[in-house]
Amino acid sequence: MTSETDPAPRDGEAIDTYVHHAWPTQSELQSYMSAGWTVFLGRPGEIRGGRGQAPALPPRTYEHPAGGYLPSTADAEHVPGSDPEITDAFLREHGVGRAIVGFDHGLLAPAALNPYLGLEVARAANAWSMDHWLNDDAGRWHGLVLVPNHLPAQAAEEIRSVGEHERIVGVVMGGNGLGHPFGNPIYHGIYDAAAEMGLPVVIHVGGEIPPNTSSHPTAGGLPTTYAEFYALRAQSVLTHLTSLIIQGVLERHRDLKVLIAGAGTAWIPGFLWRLDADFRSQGAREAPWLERMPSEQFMAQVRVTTYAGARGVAPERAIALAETVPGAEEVICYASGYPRWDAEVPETVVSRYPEAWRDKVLHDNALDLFRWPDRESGAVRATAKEA
Amino acid sequence: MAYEGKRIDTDVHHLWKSPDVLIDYLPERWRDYMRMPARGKHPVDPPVMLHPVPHGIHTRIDALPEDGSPAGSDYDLMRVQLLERFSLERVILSFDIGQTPGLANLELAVEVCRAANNWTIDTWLEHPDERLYGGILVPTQSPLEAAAEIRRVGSHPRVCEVVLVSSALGRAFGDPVYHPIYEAAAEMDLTLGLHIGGEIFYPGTSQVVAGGPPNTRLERHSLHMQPSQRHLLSFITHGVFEKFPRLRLIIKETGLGLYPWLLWEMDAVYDELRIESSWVRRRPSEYFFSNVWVSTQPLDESPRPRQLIDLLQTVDRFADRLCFSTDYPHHDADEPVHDDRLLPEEWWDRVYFDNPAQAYGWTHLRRETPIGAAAEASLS
Repeated sequence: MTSETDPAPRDGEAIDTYVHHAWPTQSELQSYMSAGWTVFLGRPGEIRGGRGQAPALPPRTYEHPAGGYLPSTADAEHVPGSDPEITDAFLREHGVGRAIVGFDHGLLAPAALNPYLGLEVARAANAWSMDHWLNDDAGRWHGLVLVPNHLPAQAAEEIRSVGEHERIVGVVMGGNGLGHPFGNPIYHGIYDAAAEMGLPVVIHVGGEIPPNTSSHPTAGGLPTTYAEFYALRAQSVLTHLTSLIIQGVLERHRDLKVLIAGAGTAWIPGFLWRLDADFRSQGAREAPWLERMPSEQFMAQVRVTTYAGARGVAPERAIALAETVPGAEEVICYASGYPRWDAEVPETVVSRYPEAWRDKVLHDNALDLFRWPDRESGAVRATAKEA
Repeated sequence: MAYEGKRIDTDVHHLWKSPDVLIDYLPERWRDYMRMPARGKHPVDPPVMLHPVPHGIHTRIDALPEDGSPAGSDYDLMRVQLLERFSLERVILSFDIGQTPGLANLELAVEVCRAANNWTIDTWLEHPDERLYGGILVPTQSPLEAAAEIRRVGSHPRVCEVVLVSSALGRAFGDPVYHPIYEAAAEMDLTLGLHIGGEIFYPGTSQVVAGGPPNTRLERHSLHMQPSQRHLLSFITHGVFEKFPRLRLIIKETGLGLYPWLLWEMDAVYDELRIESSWVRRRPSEYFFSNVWVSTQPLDESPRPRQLIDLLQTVDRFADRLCFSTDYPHHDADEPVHDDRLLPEEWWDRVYFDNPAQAYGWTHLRRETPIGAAAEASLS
């Protein structure tokens, strides 16, 4: 199933594992929704003063004081991340070849209070993404299945269905609608489906940012400012990662890979050593299904995006931190996070890691991680299905 | 190679022999209330949520006194197992899991705190062993009552700390609602002792980890430093160290491996903090380096000891904030030899003595002078 429209990247081209893409108007998304929901949500202008459309997505409780997007993308004409040509120009300027688009505000669909609406929005978002982005002739855009994780059975169906698309390379868990850590057994059907389809699971920060999730974005009390939310954005994804490891998701599926997106990488050593130490003292009693140490599972099956590194840290310190974990060079994958305000280009990112890691971080690790159309495992899967 | 000088242990847990001991310290009305049920008594501790620990015990088995009372309740056993084994100059007694006091009934919580503080002064802080120092409990349900309690007992010469564990109002601890507590602590020159674990008690509405309730104790335990990260940033966001520049905060039992990440992330949002929070005038790490200390236990176990040191050295002067602690008598307490093995020798004097002395404002204490007379007697 090698695709001629999807050439291998040229030497030196980076792979961008997380670009945020967005529908230019909600009405465009609604054209993929049922008549019932389309009428329910309505259209702008149906009521005077431009009124008439209800929001399809839960709101974000916290937002950057300057609006949350790169100044260059924040013009009044375009929703940031909604124009493939503008995003393409940014990536081209920074030497990026293939890129993965993984939604922006749309990630919050599974956190809708109305589960049917959340499901409908996720399905529509996936259909919209395939139509508007995943069919470019240049073969740049690749996509993730937006998983309606609040309804795990329907989520698994969606993965098996949308996952058939050649340019779908993974699935993404965004909004945390059920309020449980993502390794909870209630979600295991989602991972069964992803593993069956050969798709890695991306966990993006911010799933607890809507005002109505029963789990909080931080421990110890809700943030009172965006700065607090943002500085601690790794907390909830580390809960999810701990849960995936200890609840045995990675043991059930040794081929399944997970990408932690948006939390940077500076938490890796402290996180791993603590979890290993606790596992040595307590794991046999509470998680007897685990055959491998958490760090061993992590090294084999977990990958982490560079996005978004702590700004202002001296490169030599960041490098010294990265080098405290042998093997981390196999784990870290470049992501820009474009067009969010904290997006980072390859030139900035590589300065934080040892020079010898450069190709792995910018390219090789991502190439190994995803179900690219030109990847052998994709062909194997297609053959197996035919048989 | 082992450290042979004096140490200050910043995290020791002590407890009454039985709830009846505490109940006897309550006013008559509440004594009667606690003993009202036909069978048993109302608990003096709030209900603890979440996961059972194996066999229902979170302490060292060998720290259980022979009379069947709880670990940490027997001075003689503590003397043998802790005070005399490790050349301790001072220990900070800060109550145990449960005594935090996250009770739903505000009036009862106020009285339980007063009773606990009277008990700890009578039993431990006026004990002839002058190595014993301690924290006091405050009802965070009512910051004004808490402040009054700090002023009531805070002048006792061996009270050195205000224990912060349960945030009963469900807000991170830097929230302005709690500032009366800090005003009183600053006035009485007491250190704030923020210990992990307060989010596992009713009635807090804050959560023990972000992202949802963990399924196992293992998951909770490996993540339970998260609220303290939140509290630290909250102290900074809401200007507690701007309002009370001499206030000292020691954060206990978090582990150390995530501090480089945390300090970097906090400094990285300095611009946003400045925009959103009018109180923030310095980079978050500057407040950390002027007002905050961190206890060592549980000292992180990297595959090779050097890895932890390399990690901590990515932050300049981090060793200046580290304070020795054992967490005696809990099951995961650190033996000092463990710290000797993992920490570089050039850190020892600071971590074992100088930093804890600063964290408690004991600037007159000298590492070089002989250990106190009472201690000497018990060591001979």
